[in-house]
Amino acid sequence: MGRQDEQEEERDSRMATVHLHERREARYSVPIAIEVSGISREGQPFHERTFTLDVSQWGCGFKIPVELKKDDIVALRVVPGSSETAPLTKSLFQVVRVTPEDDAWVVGAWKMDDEKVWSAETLASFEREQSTGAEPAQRDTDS
Amino acid sequence: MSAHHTVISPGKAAEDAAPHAKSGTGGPAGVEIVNFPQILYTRSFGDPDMLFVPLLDATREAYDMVERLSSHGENRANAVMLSGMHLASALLRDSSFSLIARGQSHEHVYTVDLGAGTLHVNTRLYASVSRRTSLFKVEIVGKIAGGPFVVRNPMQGSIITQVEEEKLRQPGYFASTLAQECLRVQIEKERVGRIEETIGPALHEEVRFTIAVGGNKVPVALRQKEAGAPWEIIDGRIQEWVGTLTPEVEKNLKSVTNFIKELFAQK
Repeated sequence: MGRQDEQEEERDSRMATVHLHERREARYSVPIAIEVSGISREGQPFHERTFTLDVSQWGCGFKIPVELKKDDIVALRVVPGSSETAPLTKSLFQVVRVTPEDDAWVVGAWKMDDEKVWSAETLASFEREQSTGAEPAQRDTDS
Repeated sequence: MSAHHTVISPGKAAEDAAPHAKSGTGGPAGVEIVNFPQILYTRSFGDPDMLFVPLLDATREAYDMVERLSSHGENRANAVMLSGMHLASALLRDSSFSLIARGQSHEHVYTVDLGAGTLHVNTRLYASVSRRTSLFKVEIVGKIAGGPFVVRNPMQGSIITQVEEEKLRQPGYFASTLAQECLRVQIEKERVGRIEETIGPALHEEVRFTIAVGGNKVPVALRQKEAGAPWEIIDGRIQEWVGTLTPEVEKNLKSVTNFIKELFAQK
């Protein structure tokens, strides 16, 4: 393993556990098809398919009809076909904010492990598109 | 308690345990859920007298959920993961818990394996008798579904004692009763060790073996303190003299030992 890889892995490991208020990273309005799994307030399992509202390397936002609370843990996977390099395995996310909207909830969640849910290439391509003005850019930071 | 109402209240257990607990605070602990990417950490409620019972209850609820989800057609690996997530969410609902990275050491470590259905606790106990204070590292292992918990010495793997769950639920059990039991076992071991040390170097010859008596395996030692002296029969369980070999039996023993001596001489 090269020195650069080691540094990157160390950084990933740090980012997975760094305190939430210290997290600052670019996020993009990218609709990626995902499946969110968890246990509802009624104790029933759910597997909801939806689209991301925004993504960053370490987090994402999505709208879901199941009520979640802050600090709930959910499993998330990219639906096959929506991203060529996306892994089929699930990653765990911690819910950091929930806002009711219409008859659903808009959820912000933070990745707990250092698995790459969406590839760096995907994020980079969106960044390029936004910087060239190909699409209306939304560059924001988690807070 | 229904599955969606899991509440971890280590503080309540702390109040119950307070009269017996030796330490004023609960201390830090990590709760590891197997295959979970991070550790649930509590800075102040880690003592087993505070955390063991509420964690066992919450873990049992999560384990019941594994069975329920599996019986409703959920893939078992998925059921384990979902139930683990549910358990982690329940712990995080208590403000004393937070998520931290793996790889750090903690005074108390609780490992929940919902796949195997086991709960491991690695902890330290302190016991004082006659102005002597001892620290014991112990591993407490049991089935989440129920049954007794085994208390082991994690370094030697030896079993110290076996405890019914209802005893573990008694306030202050870990800091008082279990710690004293560990000390009692250690003193007993030291006593046996001292007997062996004092007898060992002064012996001329010794033969050790195990015999089956009434379905039990009994360790026995035959010891001769000096050449020509009678062979003493020692009960290896309690290191006590139980008799001497008759001259006739001694002849048989001598033929066995001579045979082995010649064998070694030839080598």
